[in-house]
Amino acid sequence: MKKQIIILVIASLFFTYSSNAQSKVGEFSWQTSLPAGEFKDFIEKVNVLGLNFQGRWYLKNNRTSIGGSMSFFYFQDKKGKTTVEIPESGTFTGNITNFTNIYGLQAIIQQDLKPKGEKSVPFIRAGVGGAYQDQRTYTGIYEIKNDGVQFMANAEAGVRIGDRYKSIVLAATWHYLPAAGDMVNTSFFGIKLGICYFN
Amino acid sequence: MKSKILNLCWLLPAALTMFLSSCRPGELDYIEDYDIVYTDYKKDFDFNTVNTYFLPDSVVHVVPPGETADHRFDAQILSTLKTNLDALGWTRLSTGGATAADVIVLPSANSSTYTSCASYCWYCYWGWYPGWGYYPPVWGNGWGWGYPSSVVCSSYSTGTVVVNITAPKLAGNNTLPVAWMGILNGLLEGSDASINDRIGKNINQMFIQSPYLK
Repeated sequence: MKKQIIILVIASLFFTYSSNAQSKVGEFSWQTSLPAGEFKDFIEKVNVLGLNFQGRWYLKNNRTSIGGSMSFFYFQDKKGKTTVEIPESGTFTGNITNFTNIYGLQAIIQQDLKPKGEKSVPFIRAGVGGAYQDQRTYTGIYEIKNDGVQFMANAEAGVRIGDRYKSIVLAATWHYLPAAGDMVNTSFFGIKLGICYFN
Repeated sequence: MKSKILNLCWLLPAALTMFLSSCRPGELDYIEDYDIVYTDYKKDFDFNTVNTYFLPDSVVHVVPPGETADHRFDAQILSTLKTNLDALGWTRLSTGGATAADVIVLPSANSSTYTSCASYCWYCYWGWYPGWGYYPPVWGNGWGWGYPSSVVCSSYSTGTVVVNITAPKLAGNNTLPVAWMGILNGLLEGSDASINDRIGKNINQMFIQSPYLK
């Protein structure tokens, strides 16, 4: 898995550099996320700490841009005193706190739905790559740690508002990291607010 | 390609900061927040057949050789167990009597003290200081602290109570089958009254989360 992710990111960067790019864009965004699916059993609460940095280069058509991104998400859920039935392994009661740190590295492709120069440009964006995730459970004086590298994909739809030099980005996002090792399947929706600079 | 990289250099410090950081929840507020209770049972054991039990009048303490057991909380452990076992409709029999009980309840306890020390080491985070020029050589590997002490130690104690309900009538092959087990673990900190209170609550919890005993 690690090897595939590294190849994917390197291939994306190579493609970017060899694409006769017309212009570059750097973006920083803050994301609030809502856990979904199986991940919701692990973390139920909305998280407010999600950061994303990305750099993209526009292709000749000036509508499509490709690049790479680094992202960081922190989720925490203090569940309080909880009784859990462990299948075939008894019953447990204790204060449970679940949390996870996710560090993502992805190749990104974005398609602008209007010409780049317009004041308001809707876009769709997709990313694939990998993430290191560190899922932990604190209970009593004990800690359960499940960590490792996972595939990570995300899809976004949003709008960029501004001029041809800098803009504000507002987007709805969805991230998915399939279960790996003892880490639970991780998926979450998010609202992202960011700024981007063109060069 | 060089200009492309340079133009995105502003991203690097922020991105590196992000990747070098991780978050974790704050500490719990109260000592009892660290208490945990675990129970499990033999799935093919029929607890409906249990009507009588033996409960010793002491708690077995597992202590390292040379150390003495701390019996301050034995009375609370035994009385709370008796209350809960009686509430199941089971009758306590005297070990000196003529009749063998259906189950024997065996409580045991142990405690551990954990000590850890930390050295406050600013250069671990800042890297070795390269010097100001007038303090050659560079303060690097091999240089230590001149402070009286940069080490801070702390310790905490934990206590564990294990309760086994054994089925002597099913014993065989030098094995005493355990039909049910309950374990509580927590910090052995605070006043005796507070620890007694937590022991009582957590033994009660063992029975609350084991409805199949009735």
